Amino acid sequence: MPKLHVSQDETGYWQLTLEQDDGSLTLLSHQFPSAEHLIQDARDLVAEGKVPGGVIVVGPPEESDVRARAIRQPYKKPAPRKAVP
Amino acid sequence: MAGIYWFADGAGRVEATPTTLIRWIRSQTPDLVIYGGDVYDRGTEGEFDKFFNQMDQNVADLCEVAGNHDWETNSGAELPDRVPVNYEAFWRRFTPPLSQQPINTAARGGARYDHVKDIGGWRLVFVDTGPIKKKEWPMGDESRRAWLRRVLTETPGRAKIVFAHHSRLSKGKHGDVDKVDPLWRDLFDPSTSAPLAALTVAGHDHNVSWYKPRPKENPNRNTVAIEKGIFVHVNGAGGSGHDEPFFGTNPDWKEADSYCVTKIDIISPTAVDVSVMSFGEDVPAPGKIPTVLNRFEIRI
Repeated sequence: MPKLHVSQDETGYWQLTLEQDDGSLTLLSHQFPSAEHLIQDARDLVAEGKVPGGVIVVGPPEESDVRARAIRQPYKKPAPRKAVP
Repeated sequence: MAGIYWFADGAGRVEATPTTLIRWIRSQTPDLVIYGGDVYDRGTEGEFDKFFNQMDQNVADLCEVAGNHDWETNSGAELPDRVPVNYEAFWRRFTPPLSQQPINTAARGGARYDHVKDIGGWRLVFVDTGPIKKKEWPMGDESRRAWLRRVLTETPGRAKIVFAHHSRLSKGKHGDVDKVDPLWRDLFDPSTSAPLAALTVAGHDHNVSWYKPRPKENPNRNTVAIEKGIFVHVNGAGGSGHDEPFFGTNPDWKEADSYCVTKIDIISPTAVDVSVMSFGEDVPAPGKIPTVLNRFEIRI
């Protein structure tokens, strides 16, 4: 059963990753400032049949948030990841 | 020459991107600015207040084709009588000439926001597709099809650009929006299948796509000569994250990593240039100057 992972990644932003049945991970979205939008998108992907039977997994917020990025490196696209390791 | 600017899918949040984009656009002396929809997350009154602040409290040069997020806070009526209450309340505060967004209170639902503008020999047609995931075009209101047919045919030629939030073709997290296929088909003459418009512009997926002319039937399969098809452009890269190209029809050109504004230069009644202006991958600071990623010519 595929999974849709919503998680806050190392950039401080939120991402959406698709995990296929074979365990492969594909980044669908990144650099979102909050989880809510991506959770709704994940629900739509399941409801529309684009990810049939998909399970949505939402990870906890990271300690560092978007505001901390002001002193960090320029943005770099993150790798796909699971919401819960 | 007239300059039309489009950006979408980024406003109503705390990010600085929409303000950076609109300030640069205004430095170019635009004839019209189109916000392509979605005031996040749910089109609340407070989110529209943020949108207004992001636009530097000035929407005199702006209209908005509502997106699905604008419609999240709605009247609760069944389609086609449902309305996005805060979208409508906001734009009714700024009826023309305080904005470029008219509201026809005599119409039902999304038809209240459909309108046209004639600039430089081109007709710009604005169609509300906000609640399209609930019901396919025309979302329960057949009068909208008659209106669309009229505005596409009452002036000669096909120098028309159709703006909506959802695109028939797209490549991203959402991909093709099949429920706008009836709208796509309405852009062609019903008897000859000749295109009645030259270009469609939409957002929804948070990236940029360009499709060479596509036909009425099975537009996802192949390109056709300009005489038989309509160009398709998607730019939802207006400030709220990036969508990877995953679902949908592969475009003829793609940009998924940058925040972008689309600039439409009306050269003549038979010619427009469409430029994709990139502000880079990261949240752009106010004052950032974009670079041209690509430019497409349409000659009809």
